[in-house]
Amino acid sequence: MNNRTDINFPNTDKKFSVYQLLNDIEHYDTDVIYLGGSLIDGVTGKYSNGIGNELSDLDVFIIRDTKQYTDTNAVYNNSTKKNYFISSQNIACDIEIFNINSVKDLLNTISNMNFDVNTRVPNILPQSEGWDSLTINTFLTRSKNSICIHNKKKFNEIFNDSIYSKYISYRKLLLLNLIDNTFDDIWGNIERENLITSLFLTREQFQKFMNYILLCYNELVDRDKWTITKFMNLCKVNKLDKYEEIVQKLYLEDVTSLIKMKEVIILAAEFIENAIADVTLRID
Amino acid sequence: MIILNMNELKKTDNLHLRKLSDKYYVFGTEVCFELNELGAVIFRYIGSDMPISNLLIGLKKRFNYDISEERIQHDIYDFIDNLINLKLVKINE
Repeated sequence: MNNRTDINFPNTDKKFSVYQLLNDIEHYDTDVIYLGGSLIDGVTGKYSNGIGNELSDLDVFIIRDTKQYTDTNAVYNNSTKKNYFISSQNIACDIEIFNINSVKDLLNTISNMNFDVNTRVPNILPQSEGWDSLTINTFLTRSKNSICIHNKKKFNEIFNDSIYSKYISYRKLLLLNLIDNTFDDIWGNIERENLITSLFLTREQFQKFMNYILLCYNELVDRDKWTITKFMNLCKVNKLDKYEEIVQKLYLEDVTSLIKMKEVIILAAEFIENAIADVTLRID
Repeated sequence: MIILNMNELKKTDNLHLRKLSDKYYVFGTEVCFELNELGAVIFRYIGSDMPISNLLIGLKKRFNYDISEERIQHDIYDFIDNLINLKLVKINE
């Protein structure tokens, strides 16, 4: 969406003028400018109902040609981006400016990822200066559910579906590995009757599992706090009742009794094992 | 035995397919079998609405088989026959 009109943010009564924002921020004609973060995700995201609120900041992303990027002054500078803060229409805006060459290098690296069985999963996507795994995930997540407000054609040339598809495949492999590696710990601690440890491990593992399922539905998440909201929305939309039931039992029911605690851990861990087998064996 | 769709079959016990490390296992009340990935994919679709013709195309694509579809179909039926003989699966009446 290339939008110069107003945006109605969900869960707030604020109407936001894009035209006013573009007047409030210094920019060049060649800049690609898009809006992201929880306020925008709440508007554009398929499973984002409930994300973003009155106190959320607005993230404004600018991808700038190298010469102009070098000349840009900002409050914070690092090798990947520069950022500063403004207020527009009583909303705090976090302006993040990226060098177009740095962005293109990252996206080329993603495009060229090779899923070789002999390569350790974390090494499939090599990290470079300024682009650690957290920064990459945030950057791609926020661009995916964004609203482009300046130079949409150039935006579409930079970001395309195949980049996200490749990145999602990588994230799924990463999470699958992390989920797999936790099972021994969970079962081992049950055997030693360290149930509280096992419970917390299972909850952590289920958090990763929720992110994995969201990825199976092409949904990226860059903040753990939003995983549960997106996951529960996804369950409602796709009628995944069993998944909702596990969330209820694992996080919301009373597990102070050790018998109940053990029951819930086994139920959740077995469920994850079954669900992972089911998803990884799909051919349709 | 010729079936045209995997929904013509039914699991006989409360069987669960589980992935543990890199292996696949079928667990029941009194049984436990290890399956290779091919067997696990076929088992996953027991009872599902999946035409055999679609299953063999999916398998050919997933495993990059350079063999004929007739051969793959023969292997699918062979495996299902084994499951029936082990009383893990039966024809859905």
